[in-house]
Amino acid sequence: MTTQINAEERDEVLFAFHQAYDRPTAEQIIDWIERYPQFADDIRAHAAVSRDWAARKGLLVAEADETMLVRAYSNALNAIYNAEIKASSTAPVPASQSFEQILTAGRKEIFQLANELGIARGVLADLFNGWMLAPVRKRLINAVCTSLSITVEAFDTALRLALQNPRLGHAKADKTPTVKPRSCDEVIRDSNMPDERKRYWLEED
Amino acid sequence: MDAWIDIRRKARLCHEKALAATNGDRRAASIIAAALENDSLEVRPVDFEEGILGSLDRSSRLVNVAKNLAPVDELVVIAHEIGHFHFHHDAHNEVTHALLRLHGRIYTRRC
Repeated sequence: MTTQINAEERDEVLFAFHQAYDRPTAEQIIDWIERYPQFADDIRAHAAVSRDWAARKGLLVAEADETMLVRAYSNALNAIYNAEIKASSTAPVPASQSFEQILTAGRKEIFQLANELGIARGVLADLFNGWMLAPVRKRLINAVCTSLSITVEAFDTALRLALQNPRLGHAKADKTPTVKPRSCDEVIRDSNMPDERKRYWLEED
Repeated sequence: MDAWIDIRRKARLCHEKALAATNGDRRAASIIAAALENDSLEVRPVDFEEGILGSLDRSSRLVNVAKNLAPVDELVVIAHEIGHFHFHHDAHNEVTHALLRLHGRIYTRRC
């Protein structure tokens, strides 16, 4: 309750501050911080945003670049697809499941599965994200199938889907990111596992 | 889309928790290491192609960082990816290489 009251009061103070100044000066910021020391960080942060907004007034709107257009197009497609799914009375039954769907169904995340199997999370990440080329070591296939309660056929299908749609997650890049898949053995050898575990997963024990 | 003020708040909270774990050691490397540990994240050097600095794999709790970055740049990239971990829970923001089509994911994200 106290938190909620504080949040409401904070919002009121910030709104009043926002209305009072388009481009708050240092003196004005200090004045408000002294009046509302409990919201000092928020006032400073909002002042920074206000000054940023004020500085942008009158600037030309940036032209849409290729990334922005592609992103907007993709978002539009996603919106259409989601709307169609919502509108249909019955959701389509997937003919095959991706690793992501299998993990979701099993309520597991990759790092949890990696801990369970005693394998570097990077190896499973590469496998599930489509960064690992087939063939995959039999021992690894069996361990994943057993842990996720799936058949080898389901594994093969999920692997094919992963390779067709490799995932990079959130990327920091200055150009369109791409993925270079590697062999299973290369991924295992390059992992941070102890040599003994590497030999185990390479089936060299 | 996350509001800027919320980003600031979460960043401050993340920093405070990390600082508490370092017992006041404010060096970037120490703060980053503590923040990673707080979120059970691991850093993995990756031989990315030129232009890719790093990525966050949420399900694996992995921060992938390009090999051969300068130490300072590496810390900045890791901090950036930690930021992704605390935001962007919408999978539509992630990078998936797929043909643009219905049921496709967002094509690319640069930030």
